[in-house]
Amino acid sequence: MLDTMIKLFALIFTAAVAENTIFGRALVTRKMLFPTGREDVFIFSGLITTLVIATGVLCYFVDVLFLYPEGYSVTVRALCYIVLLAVVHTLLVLEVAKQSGPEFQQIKNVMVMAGYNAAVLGTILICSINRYALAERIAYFIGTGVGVTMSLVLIQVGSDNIAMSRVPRAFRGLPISLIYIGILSLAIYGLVGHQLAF
Amino acid sequence: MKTRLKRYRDITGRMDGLLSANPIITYGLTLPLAVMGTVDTRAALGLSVALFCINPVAMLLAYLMKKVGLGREVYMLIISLVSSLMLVQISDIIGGIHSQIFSLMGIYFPLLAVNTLTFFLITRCDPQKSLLNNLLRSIRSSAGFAVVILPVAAFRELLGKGSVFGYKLLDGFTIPSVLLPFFGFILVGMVCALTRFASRNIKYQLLRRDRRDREAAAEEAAKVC
Repeated sequence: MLDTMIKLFALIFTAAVAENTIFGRALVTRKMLFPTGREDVFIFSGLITTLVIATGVLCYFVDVLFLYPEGYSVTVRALCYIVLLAVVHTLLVLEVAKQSGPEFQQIKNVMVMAGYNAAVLGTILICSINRYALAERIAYFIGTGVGVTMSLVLIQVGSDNIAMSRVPRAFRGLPISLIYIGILSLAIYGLVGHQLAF
Repeated sequence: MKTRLKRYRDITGRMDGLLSANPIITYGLTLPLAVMGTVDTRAALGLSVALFCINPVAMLLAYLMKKVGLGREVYMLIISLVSSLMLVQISDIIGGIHSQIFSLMGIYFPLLAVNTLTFFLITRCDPQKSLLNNLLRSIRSSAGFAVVILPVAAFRELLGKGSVFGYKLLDGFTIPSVLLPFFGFILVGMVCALTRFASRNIKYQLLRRDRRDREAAAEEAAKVC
C-alpha cells in the first residue's frame, strides 16, 4: 500500500515538474503565453485539469476494452479520444452555461480554448502510449494540472516583469516570451537531466 | 506612381501568411510543432505535408458551416474530428516519406488535429469573400509554416545529430542539447526577433529612398518654376 502511494506521488511530481507539459513537452498555446491575470490563469488551468481528468478516465476504459486489444495505432486512438473530449467538453460547457447564466459569455471563449488544446490531448496520449493503469493515469493527470497551473503562474509573473523592463523593439511581445520560457525550460532540464521520450 | 514602400507592402500583402502575417513568427501559432517538431527535418516535413492536407479541407468545411450560420463551438468540434479522421487517412502518405517518421514525430502528429493554426484559419474564414480566396489563404499559411520549420529543423538536426534528412554531414561534432525543448523555444524566439528586425529595416530603407526621391522631385519642380 505504501509502495503504491509513493509510486503515485512520484508520478504526480514527474508530471508536474520533470515532464512538465509546457516546459518539458512544449504543449503550449499562444493564449498561455500572454495570461491577462491570476484569475484568468486559475480558471484556464482549472478547466484543463477538469477536462484532462474527466476525459482521461473515459479514455482509459475505451483503451482497455477496445483500443489495446485491437492494437490500433496512436493516430486512431487520438481520433477516439477527440470524440470523447468533444462529448465531455460539450457537457461541461452546457453545465457551466446553466450555472453561470449571463456571466457565461465572458468565460465561453476561455472554455472553448481550454477544450481543444494540445495540453489536454497530449497528456492523454502520453498516458495511453505508456500504458498506465487507472490510478497511475489519475495521478499523472493531477500532476499535469498542478504543473500547468505552476507554469502559467510563472509565465504570468515573468510577463509582468518583462512589461516593466526595457526590451529592445525587435524582441517585444512574442520573442521575449519564448526566450523566457526557453530559459525556464533549461532550468527544468537541469533538474531532469535527460531528454524526454516522444 | 506607387512609392517603393507601397509596392513592398503590396507584394508582402499578396504573400499574406507566407512572408507577412506568418503563423509562427507573427502570431505564435503551432508552438508545440515549431519547438518539438523541429528536432528532425523528416519530422518537420511530415508535419508540413499533413498541415497542407488538413488546412484547405478545414477551410472548405468552415466556409460552408459559416454560410449556414453555425457557431464557433460547433465548427471547432467538427473540424477537430474531421482533422483527426484525415490524419488517419493520410498516415500512409506520411509514412512513405521515411520508415521511422512516426517515431520521429511522436505524439505531435496526432496533435495536428487540435493545432492552433487550423483553428485560427477557420475562425478568420470570411464567408463574405470567395471560397477560392479563403482556400488560397489557408495554403499560404501552411506554406508559411513550412518555410519557418524546415530551416529551423535542418539547423537543429545538423547541430544536434550531425545530419540533415538522416544523411550524415558532420562527423564527431554534435551538440545534443540543441535537440532539447529549451533550445527550440529560444531559437524560435530569436527567429521571430530577427525577422521583425529585418522587416523593420527594409521598410525604413524604402521609406528613406522614397523621401529622397520626393525631395529630389521637389527640387526639380522648384528649378523649373
